Amino acid sequence: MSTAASDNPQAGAGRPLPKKEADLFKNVVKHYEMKQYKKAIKQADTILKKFPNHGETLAMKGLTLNYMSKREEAHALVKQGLTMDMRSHVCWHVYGLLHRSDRNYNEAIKAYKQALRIDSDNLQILRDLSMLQIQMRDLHGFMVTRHTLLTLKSNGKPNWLAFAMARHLTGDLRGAISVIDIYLGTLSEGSPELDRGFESSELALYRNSLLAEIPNNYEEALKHLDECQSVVVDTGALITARAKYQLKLGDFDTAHSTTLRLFERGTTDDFRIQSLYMLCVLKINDEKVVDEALRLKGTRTLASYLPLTNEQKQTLRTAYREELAPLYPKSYAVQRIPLALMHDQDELVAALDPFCRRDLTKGVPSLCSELGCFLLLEKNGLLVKAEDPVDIKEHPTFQSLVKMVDGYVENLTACNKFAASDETEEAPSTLLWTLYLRAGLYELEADYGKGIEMLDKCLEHTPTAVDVYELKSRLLRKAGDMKAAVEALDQGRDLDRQDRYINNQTTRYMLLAGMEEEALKRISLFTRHEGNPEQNLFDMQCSWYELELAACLRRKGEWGRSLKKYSAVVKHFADYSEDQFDFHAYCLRKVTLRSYIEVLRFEDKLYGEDYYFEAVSGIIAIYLHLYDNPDLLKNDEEPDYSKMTAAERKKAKNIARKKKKAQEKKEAEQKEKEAAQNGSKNNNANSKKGGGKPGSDVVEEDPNGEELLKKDPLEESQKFVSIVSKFAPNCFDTWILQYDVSIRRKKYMLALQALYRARSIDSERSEYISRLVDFSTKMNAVGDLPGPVGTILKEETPHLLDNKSVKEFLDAAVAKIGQTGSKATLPVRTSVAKALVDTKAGSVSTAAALILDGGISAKGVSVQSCSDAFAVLKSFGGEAASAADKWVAQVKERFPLAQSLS
Amino acid sequence: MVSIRQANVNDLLQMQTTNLWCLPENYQMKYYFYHLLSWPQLLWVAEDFDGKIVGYVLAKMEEDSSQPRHGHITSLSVLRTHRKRGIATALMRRSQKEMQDVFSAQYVSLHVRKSNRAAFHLYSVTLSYQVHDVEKGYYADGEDAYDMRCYFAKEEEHAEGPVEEMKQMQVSA
Repeated sequence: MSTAASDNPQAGAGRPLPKKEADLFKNVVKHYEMKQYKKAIKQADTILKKFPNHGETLAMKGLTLNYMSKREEAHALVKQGLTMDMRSHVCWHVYGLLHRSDRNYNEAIKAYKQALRIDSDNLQILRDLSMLQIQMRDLHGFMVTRHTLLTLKSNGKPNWLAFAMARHLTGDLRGAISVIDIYLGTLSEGSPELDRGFESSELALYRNSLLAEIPNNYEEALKHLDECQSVVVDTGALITARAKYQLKLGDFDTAHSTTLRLFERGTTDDFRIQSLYMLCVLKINDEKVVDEALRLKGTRTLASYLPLTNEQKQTLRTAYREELAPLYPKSYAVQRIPLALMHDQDELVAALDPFCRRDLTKGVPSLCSELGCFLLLEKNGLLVKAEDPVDIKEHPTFQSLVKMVDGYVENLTACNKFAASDETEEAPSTLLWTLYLRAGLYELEADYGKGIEMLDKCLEHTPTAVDVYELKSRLLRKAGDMKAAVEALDQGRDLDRQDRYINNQTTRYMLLAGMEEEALKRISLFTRHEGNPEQNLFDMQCSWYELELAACLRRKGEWGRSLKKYSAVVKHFADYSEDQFDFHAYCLRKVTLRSYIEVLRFEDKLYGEDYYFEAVSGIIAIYLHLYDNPDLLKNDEEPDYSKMTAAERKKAKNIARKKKKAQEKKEAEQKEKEAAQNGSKNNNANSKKGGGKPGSDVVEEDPNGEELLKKDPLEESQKFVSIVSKFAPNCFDTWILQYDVSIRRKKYMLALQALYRARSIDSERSEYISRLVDFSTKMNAVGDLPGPVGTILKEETPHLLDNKSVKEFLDAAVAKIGQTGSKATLPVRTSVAKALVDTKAGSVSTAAALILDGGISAKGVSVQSCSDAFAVLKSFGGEAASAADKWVAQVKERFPLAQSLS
Repeated sequence: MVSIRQANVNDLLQMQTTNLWCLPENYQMKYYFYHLLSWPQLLWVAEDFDGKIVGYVLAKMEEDSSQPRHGHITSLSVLRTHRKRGIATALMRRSQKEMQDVFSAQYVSLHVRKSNRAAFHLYSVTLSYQVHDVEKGYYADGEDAYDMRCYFAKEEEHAEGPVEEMKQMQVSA
């Protein structure tokens, strides 16, 4: 703003202010910039007393008021100022700034451009415009603006970097590199910018990342690393890049020794670097394999990802044994990775034995989940972890592990030793942790009853073991007794009140059990003590809690309150997107361009993140449910008294009166509560460790989500589903949501496309099968549609059914399930059964048999999927009554603790 | 068994979640962005087999030029389910190493609750921190904090390339 005020010759539309007032105006701008808003207002008022129509002063006063939270007054003044002086770039700039603060970026861009039409070389406005362009990803516009800025002011480093970035972002890698080179060329010899230091290091490595982004350009990138290493301080990044380039160029031995230098820096437990090492040892430089191996998450390595040949395994084992183990005997990675390279499970279990013993003596709670990582299966040419209890139970390694741990339990119980022949005796806690491990193994094979038995033994042994309560409650939950699960967990929580993890877990379970008020009390033990805890959790962007609470309220049919909580998470994501704004300028000064590019790319796919998806799925599910059941929201309306007898009417009116009274009481209490919270909220701002914006009333405004319920359910669903289809196209559930929304909107092409996308991801899922049948049935009912849409639908729909009729398609599915050794999961069986009866393609008894004959021992069995199957059997009516009874008996035998079936 | 690696932007949401599951001192996402975009080398995470973040360290450089260059641990936590694996120690060592290498820090400081004995033991015994000061009522609930410091030994820098080696030779000559 400073330049704006001084070099505008026609302040006030050709009527410049007299010197005294012109000076005052400069002060207004100065005070505004220094955030001395009251002073700015005072001086603006002094000017306005004499020149009440001075546009720029009006605008500046408005802008200042905006920062004093007087939004409406601000807008009125800025608009008034602009009307008074349409030819002032200051007024337009201020108008843009006002829109920017409302996050109304497109309007702001228009205003800035208008200001630049009047004052085309205004650096401040150009900078502000460029920031909005990058925020809105108008990459071409950004490049043009940054080019103008660089031309006007070529001695500013940020201007060079910004222009290089602009070229990079528009895909001109060579152009970006040459901008950096020209910039470096402008520096005189001996400039500190050329010395070894953080900024020069970041710039060099950014330039290097550009070279590597050019396809097949590793040689040049490698050469550049040699050239720039004298200025680089980020040694880790430098060596990692060097090793990757050498590997990709097939220079395996050099890459190998470079990787060893990375280990020397203390990164042996970085499993991506372990994969890098393996690739060097095995001399693999296939671009795709290398890229995928180096992107693996967690402790996956090449060895737990690709099925290797015995020869390759042997080579790696030798390398670990002879090269790495002597250098890094204590590294977990170096000890554990060779275990994934064993030839058979006997050898593996023998090797795991000493590790298990050591961890049990030490009491490592994560041991069981770590052992789970060795239960690998081959699927589509890659290794995956066995997750389904059916697969786990059959896994030979699992069976051997169970045998080994049973041996421990037996011996520890008898003589405090892992094996009778051992010399040393174990401390009593070893038995505790061994029983805990055994319970964990029972969990993996879904034998929850036995697991709970083990844990009860643990608690007999040590009644204060918090971790045992946690595992026990999880097993109780999976066994279907949510109430007991909450009790067990809360008992454990009470033993360690300082631990937020166990507190959160209790909160979560209470929400799963539908106890949202108790849950809030629990979680509030760890939020800041003053103010409304829900507001505090919102300010801290505590999405997990808001999502669990929303799901809890949804299960209870509290649609409005649930929507409100889901929307809170949606709001967090809008804030995460907004967060990048200040960093556009910041990173140019800090030169952290590699991280900045990462952040921009992350923001570009922000709405594909899991939390966002969960919130959107919840919102859509509620809106569609309300659309399907429009009566749900009409509960509160008066019943139709005219159709009742006098007695009935009297009774109904009584009930209505009581209901109304209770509602009024509740509302009054709510108001009191709000008043109390508002009173204490002022303290919030003073507390030391801030972070939240105090006084933002997002939580307290419309707490019951009544405004959200007034929205059009299909329009809202459509809005959200189009976001996830764009940002999470590889997610199966995206296309199920897209189908569910589109079919209700009667957008048959979109529904068809959604089915195709879902099928390409996983055609075996029950959710897909049920939609496919639904679609085919609906298309039959709708008949032929006119125009090209009708033609396409008529041609494409049969492909999805393998050119069969719905009946033939389902018959084939039934036959497939009936085959011996069928891999059909319980949810698939259930959805085929339902489809069979819904479409009248098969008899109720055929349908029921799909569930009854083998459903309970199929994959995908959980208390939830069993009760879903039960609900479907019940929906078949009297004809399936005995089947439903039989099913309940099977489920009760499998999950004796389950509470929900009746 | 966890992987200890430098954090990147895709880890930040999970880091925030882990923080909310472990500690009462929480931060908005922007503060995580700020760390990553200022000192990317100082953020480290621990992830389990499936890639779930089970521990993290969030650290920064103090930019007060009146004091010698030093780093500061903003936040460190490991999920209860993954204790006793030395994860916190490993994360701290990695971040401290980069503070020295990348930012030439002479020491690192942190705050710890007076009542948090497990953390105090980790810092004072395993990682050789010393109490520098006590800050009265540092935490929102009124609890005092120990202001602790760990001075880095002047070990030889990991020389990278001939220029650096020459510089070192000049110093020792």
